[in-house]
Amino acid sequence: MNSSVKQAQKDGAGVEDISAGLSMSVVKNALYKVIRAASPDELGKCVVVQGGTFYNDAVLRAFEKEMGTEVIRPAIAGLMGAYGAALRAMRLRESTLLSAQELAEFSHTATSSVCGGCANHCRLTVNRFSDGARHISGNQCQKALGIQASEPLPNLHAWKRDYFASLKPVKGRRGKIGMPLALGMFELAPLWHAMFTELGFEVHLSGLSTRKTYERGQFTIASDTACYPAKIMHGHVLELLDRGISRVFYPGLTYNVDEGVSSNHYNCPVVAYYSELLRGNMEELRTAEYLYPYVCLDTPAELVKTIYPSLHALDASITRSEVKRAVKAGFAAYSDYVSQVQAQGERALAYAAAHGKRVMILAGRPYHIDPEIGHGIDKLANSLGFVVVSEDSVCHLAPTQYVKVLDQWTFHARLYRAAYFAAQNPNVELVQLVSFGCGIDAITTDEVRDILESRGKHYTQIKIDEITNLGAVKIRLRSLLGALEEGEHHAG
Amino acid sequence: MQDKSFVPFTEDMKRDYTILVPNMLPMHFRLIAAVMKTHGYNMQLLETSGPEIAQLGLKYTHNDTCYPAILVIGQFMHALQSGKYDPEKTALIMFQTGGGCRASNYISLIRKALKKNGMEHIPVISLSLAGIEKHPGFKLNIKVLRGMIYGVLCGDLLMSLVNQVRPYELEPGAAEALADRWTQRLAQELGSSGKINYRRVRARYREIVADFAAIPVERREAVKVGVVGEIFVKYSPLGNNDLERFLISEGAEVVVPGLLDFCLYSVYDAIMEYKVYGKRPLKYAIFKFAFNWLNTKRRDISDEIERSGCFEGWTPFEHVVALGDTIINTTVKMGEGWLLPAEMLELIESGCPNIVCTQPFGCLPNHICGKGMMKPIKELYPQSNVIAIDYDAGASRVNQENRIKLMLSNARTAAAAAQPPAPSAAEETKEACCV
Repeated sequence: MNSSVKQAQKDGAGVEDISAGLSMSVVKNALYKVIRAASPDELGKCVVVQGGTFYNDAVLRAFEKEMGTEVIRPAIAGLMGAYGAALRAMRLRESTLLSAQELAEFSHTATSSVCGGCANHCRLTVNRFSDGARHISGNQCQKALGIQASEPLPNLHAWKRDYFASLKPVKGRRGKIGMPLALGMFELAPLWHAMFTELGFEVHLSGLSTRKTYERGQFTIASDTACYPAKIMHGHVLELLDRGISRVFYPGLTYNVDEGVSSNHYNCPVVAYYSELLRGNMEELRTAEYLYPYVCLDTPAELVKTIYPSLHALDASITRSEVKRAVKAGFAAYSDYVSQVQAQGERALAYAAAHGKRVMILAGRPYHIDPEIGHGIDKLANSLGFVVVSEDSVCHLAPTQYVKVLDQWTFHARLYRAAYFAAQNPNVELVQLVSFGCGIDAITTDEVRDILESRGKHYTQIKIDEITNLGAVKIRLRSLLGALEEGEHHAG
Repeated sequence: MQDKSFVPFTEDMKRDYTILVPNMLPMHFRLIAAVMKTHGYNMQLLETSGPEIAQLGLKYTHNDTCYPAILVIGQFMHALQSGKYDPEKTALIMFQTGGGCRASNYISLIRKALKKNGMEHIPVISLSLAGIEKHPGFKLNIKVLRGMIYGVLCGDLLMSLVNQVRPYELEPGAAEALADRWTQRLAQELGSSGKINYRRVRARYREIVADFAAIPVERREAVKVGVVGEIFVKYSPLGNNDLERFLISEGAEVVVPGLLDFCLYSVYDAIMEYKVYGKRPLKYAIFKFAFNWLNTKRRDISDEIERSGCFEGWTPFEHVVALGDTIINTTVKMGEGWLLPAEMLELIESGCPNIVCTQPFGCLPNHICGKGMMKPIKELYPQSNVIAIDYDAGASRVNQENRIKLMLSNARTAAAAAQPPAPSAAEETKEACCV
């Protein structure tokens, strides 16, 4: 937007025209980007506008011009939210407003501290009030509040994180090999871990990310507009090298595993080929043994064929029959992992049904379970009373979806099925996590939204990047919850 | 899985439908359209431009979609809403390369836009060698394909010659006017008879080269600037804010690798698919044959250019592949894949270290193959002067042009440092390119 204004200035546009252009763009942004209407007709002929923005006459007029119709702006347009809150409070019929005396005695102090509940070390702001009450913000989970949930709700993201943490190095005769736990590794680590372990390597995965992981590798990032899950990869590689691991494995994967439900099974270009970017831009890797073979996962035999040459080059004592055995072990471990994820998904659904809980499919890519990439949204959802499952833990429960776009990426095909599953089950909601810069989600989001909305479900999308702003996310999820409750209230 | 409401282009439609073609490379596409006309397809090349194209595209597609999709959809919708074409007798056509890049989805996005516009009955033809979709009325037999390839070959030749003459011509616009005349003539010849004879095409190469060599030029110093990148924004003036014209106005000589190289790259990828992943073994022999055939045709042109002694021919494609292999694995096949860094290396090797690498904002493959390869290229060739420019509906032209100017200024500084001072104006010779 800034650059468009500069461009207009350079082209000699006057202040009035630039101002008019800004008003037009506010309206177009709302219509075509937020509401995603194709034409003003979709909104109907009788339109009431609300929100403080419409106090601006220019915006109002721009809206009318874009819509081709006159619209109604109530005099209280900017107070609609307040009215809504008041109406809702009235329905609740219990006020927590302070009395005049309490207000007179009101005092408040704010201190900041760091939560020691887990490795996440949230920065907390603790507000203390005169009546002894405390309000804590900045926390990503309930722990900081001192609330011990009577029973932790199932959380597939957390379960998967624990699973990856359980992939421990096993002492082996062939020495250490490291794998960065980022991007596609969040899907295939079980396979590679078992394979290398079987071959006698001591397999080290880099840990889950923190902000530090990103900052550590920041200086070798080649394209700043790439997605955060890719950019954080550099830090993971450095972490491995700093631990004294001189062999690093991250394969090139044009294709992912074929789940047989989409017209092809590609990885996105970034997941597929980030290995090349790492090789080209991380000088640290040049003194290490960096393995990035292009491998095929279609069958164990194909994997043996494509991975053997680079393994043999790494260690000449490795024989083809050893690789065969190792690949077999790898595939066994991977399929065990997949069935465990699915079993856990079903278990979580059963739990929700038995306890009358809502289910949230926190859908995205496998790497969105990383706490630094997902920003703890899974825990937040738990704290709001949702049982949290991942897209890959429920998508097996829905049939293949006919979508209007080319369904050709393994990870993305899961989203469509998960969305359908949510649409079919009344207590299941889907929230889609989208990383900034994910080009492919520009395509999937519209489809997922369609699958849900055409069946009367809410579609919630949360865009995430390197900035942690859980406050905004909390509002989004609370609004979702509010909308669900409102819907039930009307239905009931 | 494809949508069930797929509208095929039937044989009946072939009779009286107009097929709209988005514009990427004016010369090439005019030639191809002419060839297609001979085979009974009424192709209409869209020449529209202006900011309303992108605005319209944004209305019908997600704003995070790549810029080429926004432009192509904008151009199609603009045409359909213009009233110039009967929506009951119109079809659209778009390339579909297939592959892990989201560009494979342009066809679907066009269909979604049509639907939003209430025009979902309009067939969208997918032009792809991979045969992703079946359209009974649009079949590419060998004859059609060959004609199209000749169109690409002639287009590449004209483009290369125009670029080599334009900065030096005495009469401004002479080279482009000549290319225009030749495009018209070739369009007739490649099209009207339907019988295309390669010997005749080759004879035309020689005439074309001779005609360009006869354009009066003056020798003067011009900075050579290569343009590489994502195929649409690299070629389309609509996509790259008229990059070529801008570079020329800054006194540069533009070097743009040809469209045939992209065709060869696509065929090469199909060969690698078999070699690495064992896919489509039955077609392997065909792809191998096609690669060699295309490569021979490319060499024929290059030989013809070099024979004239006044223009530079093209680096053999085998060498381009080999260059790619030095910097990236040639299995990398999404988007422009390995071809992108290979083209940069080829430009640098052939004396053109100044390069604009163009891509739509957020282009996924170019994170790796474009921006991701710049550091290793700089290490291999310290003299290289590569700049990455992102194109988008929200990107400002001023910003893009300022960055390119910086690159040009670096290029001139480097050229001045490397060479003795240029001859003074009095010594400039005025002559035809070749006499």
